[in-house]
Amino acid sequence: MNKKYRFLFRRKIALLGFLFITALIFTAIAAPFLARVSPLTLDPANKLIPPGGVALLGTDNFGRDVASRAIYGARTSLVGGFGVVVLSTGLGVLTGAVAGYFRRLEPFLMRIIDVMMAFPPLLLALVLVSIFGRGMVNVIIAVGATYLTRTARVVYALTLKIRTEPYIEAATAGGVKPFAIVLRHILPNMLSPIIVQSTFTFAFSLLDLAALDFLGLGIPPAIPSWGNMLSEGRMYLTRAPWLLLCPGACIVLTVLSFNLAGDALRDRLDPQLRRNIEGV
Amino acid sequence: MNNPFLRVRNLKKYFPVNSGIFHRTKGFVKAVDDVSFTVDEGETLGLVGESGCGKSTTGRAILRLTPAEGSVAFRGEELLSLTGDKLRRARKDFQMIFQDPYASLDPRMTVRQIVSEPLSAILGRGQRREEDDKVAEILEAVGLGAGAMSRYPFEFSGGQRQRVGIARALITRPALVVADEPVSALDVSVQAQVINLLAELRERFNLTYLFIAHDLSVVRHISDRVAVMYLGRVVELAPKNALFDRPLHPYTHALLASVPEPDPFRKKERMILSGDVPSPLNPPSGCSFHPRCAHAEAICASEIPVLEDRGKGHFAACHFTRA
Repeated sequence: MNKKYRFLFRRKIALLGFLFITALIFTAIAAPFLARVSPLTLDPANKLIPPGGVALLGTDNFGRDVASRAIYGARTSLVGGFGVVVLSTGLGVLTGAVAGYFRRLEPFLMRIIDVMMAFPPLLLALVLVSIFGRGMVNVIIAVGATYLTRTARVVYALTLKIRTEPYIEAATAGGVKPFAIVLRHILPNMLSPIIVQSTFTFAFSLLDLAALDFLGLGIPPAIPSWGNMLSEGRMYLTRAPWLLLCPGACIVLTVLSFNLAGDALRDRLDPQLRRNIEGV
Repeated sequence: MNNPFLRVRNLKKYFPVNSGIFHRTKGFVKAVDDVSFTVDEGETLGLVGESGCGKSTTGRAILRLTPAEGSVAFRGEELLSLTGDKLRRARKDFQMIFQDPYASLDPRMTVRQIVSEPLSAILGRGQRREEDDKVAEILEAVGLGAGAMSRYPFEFSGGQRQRVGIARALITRPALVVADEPVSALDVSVQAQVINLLAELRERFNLTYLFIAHDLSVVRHISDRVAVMYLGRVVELAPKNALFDRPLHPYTHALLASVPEPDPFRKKERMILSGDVPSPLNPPSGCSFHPRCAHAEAICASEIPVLEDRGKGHFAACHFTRA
C-alpha cells in the first residue's frame, strides 16, 4: 500500500465514510448497469408496491422503480453537490484571500459579497434560476452563488488573521512575492477550515438542490434526483413511507460520509496531527 | 566615513489612531520619532529600551517590513525608495531574525522548505541538489545538522527553532542582519547558547548586526555600541563600555540601576523610576522623559533636547549632561 493513502486505514469509521463515497461514485458512474429497470419507465398497474416484491425497494405513485431512481439520483445529487462545492469554494477562496491580503481590493470585492449576502439564500437561487431557466448547470450556479458568499467571508476572516502571523512577515523579508505568499503560506494554513466548510457546503447544497426541485425550479421532475423523489413522495408519507425512506437514507448517509471523510482529511493535512496519528 | 555601511537618518513611523464610526484620524502614535544613527561594517549596534519604545518598529522599518519616512542608506543605496522587484532582490543583503521562534516558522513547511525559501524567492529556483547542499551547509553552521531538513518546526524545541530562523536569515549570505529580540522568548540556559552562536556566525560570515533587545546584559555581551530608545527617540548612543560605565542620560542611568546585582554584599546606587511610561499617543512636551526625571527643570518641559556628541562618540540627548 502506498504510504500516501495509508492514513485511510488508521481510522475505521473514516474508512467507512470513504468506502461509502467510493461506492456512491461507482454507483453514479455505473448506473445503467446497476439499475434493473429504467428509472423513467411508468407502470401504472404496479404503483405504490412495498419493497420486496416486484421491485427491490418498491415503486412510486407512477409505478416507477424506487431503487433505479435512487441509483440514478446518486448521479444527479453528486454532480450537483460537487458542482456547487467546486464553484463556491473556488471562487469564494479566491475572492476572500485576495480581499484579505491585498487590502486595497477589499472594499470592492467584499461589498459585492455583502450585496449577494443581503438576499435570503433560497430567494437568490430562485431569482437566478428564474432568470437563467431550469437545468443542472443553472441550478449549480444558483446554489453555488449563495455558498460562495459564506466561503468568501470565512476565508476573508482567516486571511486577516493569518496575514499578521510573523511567518508571513518572515516570508516578505525573504523576498517572496505577494501572490506567492497567498498561495504558499496563507492558503495552506487555512486548508482545514476550508475542507470542513466544503463538506458542510456539500451537505447543505444537497438539501438546497432538493428544495429547488421541490419548488419546481430545480432539475426537471422527470430526471431522477433524491430531492425530486423526496418532494414527490411527501404526499404518500403514510401510505408508502419507503418513498421517503430511500432517498432520505441516501442523503443522510452521503452527508455523514462526507463529514467523516472531511474530518479524516483535515487530520491528514495537518502535519502535527498527522505525526501524532501515525506515531512517527 | 563618507559612506557608512548603514546610515539611518530622521526615521519616522507614525501610526494613525482612528476612532468613531467614520474612522477619523484622531492623532498619531509616534512609534519612531526622528531616529538617526549609523552602523559600521562588521559592527554590532545594540538597540535597547522598554516594551513599546519603538525599537522593533525601527528594525522593521529599516528592513522595509513596514512603511516609514526618513532615509535609510545601506552601503550608499537608499532603501526607503526601493519598490517591487528591485526591493525583493535587494533583500538578499539584509535579513531579519525574528523574536518568536514559534510563530515565525510556517507550521506547514519542513525545515528544508523554510530555510530554502529566501534562496529560491530572491535568487530564483536553482538545482534541487545544489539548494539542498546550501541548506545542509547553513544548518550545519547553526548547529542543527542536515538531518533536520525533512522535519517540521513543531518537532523542535524553542532554541532549535530559533536556529532554524537564523539559518533562514543567513541562507542568502546577507551583510546586515537585524535581530529583533532573538533570545527573549527562550529559556535562560538556551539564551547563552544562541547568543554565542550569533557571535560565532558574525565572525564566520562577516555579519553586521542591529541587535534589538530589552535585556541589558545580553546587549552588553554582544554589542560594540549601544543605543538607548525612549518613547520613539534615541536618548543615548555610545560605545558599550562608555555607556555601561558612565551613562550620561538619566534614563540610561535608571535602566542600568534596574539590572539585578548578583552580589548581595555589594551596595549599589538605587534609582527607581516613578510613574509609568507616558502614552506615546500624547507624549510629554519637551524632553519626553522629564515627568519621570529626578533632575528635570523648567527647560526640560519646553525644549526637546538634541542628541549631541559629548566627546569620544558618546551621544546623549539631555539638557544637563556634560561630557
